[in-house]
Amino acid sequence: MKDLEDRIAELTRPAASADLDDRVAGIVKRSHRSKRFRRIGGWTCSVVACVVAFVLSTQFRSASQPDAKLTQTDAPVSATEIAIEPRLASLVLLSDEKDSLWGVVDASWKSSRK
Amino acid sequence: MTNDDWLAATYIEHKDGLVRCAWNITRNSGAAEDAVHTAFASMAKRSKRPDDPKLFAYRSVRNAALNVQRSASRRPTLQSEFDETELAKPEAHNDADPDCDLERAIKLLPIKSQEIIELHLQSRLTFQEIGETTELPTQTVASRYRRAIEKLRSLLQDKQP
Repeated sequence: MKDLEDRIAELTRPAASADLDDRVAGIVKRSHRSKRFRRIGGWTCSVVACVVAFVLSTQFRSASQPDAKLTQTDAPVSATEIAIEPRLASLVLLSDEKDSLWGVVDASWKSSRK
Repeated sequence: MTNDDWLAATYIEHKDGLVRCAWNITRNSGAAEDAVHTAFASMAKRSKRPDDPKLFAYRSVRNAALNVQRSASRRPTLQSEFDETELAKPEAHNDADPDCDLERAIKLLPIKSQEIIELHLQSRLTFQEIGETTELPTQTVASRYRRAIEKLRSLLQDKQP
């Protein structure tokens, strides 16, 4: 009579079928493919990020050129042109008309002294 | 072996042991294969190779088999299907065959002892590996195994005239 442990080891048990082999082979194949795509995707993102960084840096450099600054600051600005910012527009108005306004105030003060 | 090849290599080397490990829990070969499939599908999502792929695979398959069994027990209509053990069907037993007596004696053991015996003798795992797979101390695994073998011997001796 064989040893009990040997007999248990020799008991018939299910083994992996060909169908399971195919299913796991499919999983392994898909896993390799997705890892390869992830790797390629990573490289593509790096290249795109470098290109975007380069384009942005050239844009900022051209915007900070002295000539460009001059053309922007030397342009005549009126209150109506900067109406997009009402508070700034009112300040400009005040600065444009301060002499005439001061004249009105001065005249009224002098008349009150009389 | 590259980092990507460990999955295929682990399957090829341990596939039968893994199916048996799942079968110990589900007692259904289809459900056992499903558990192995599920475990490998989740293992494929890992970006890194585990330290010990063999133990990792056994642990994953065991957990997947427990999940399969748990979900089967929640579905009463499928209960009878999962209770069925193709290799231990009553009609398949021949009283003259000593292996049938052995199968029946194994079925009388506690489930955890059955699992330890099968993992050690069928899947060829060491007590330490079984301990890491089932999250039990090695000493507990060894003592359960010894007790189960003694119990089997006494059961089989009782059967003999």
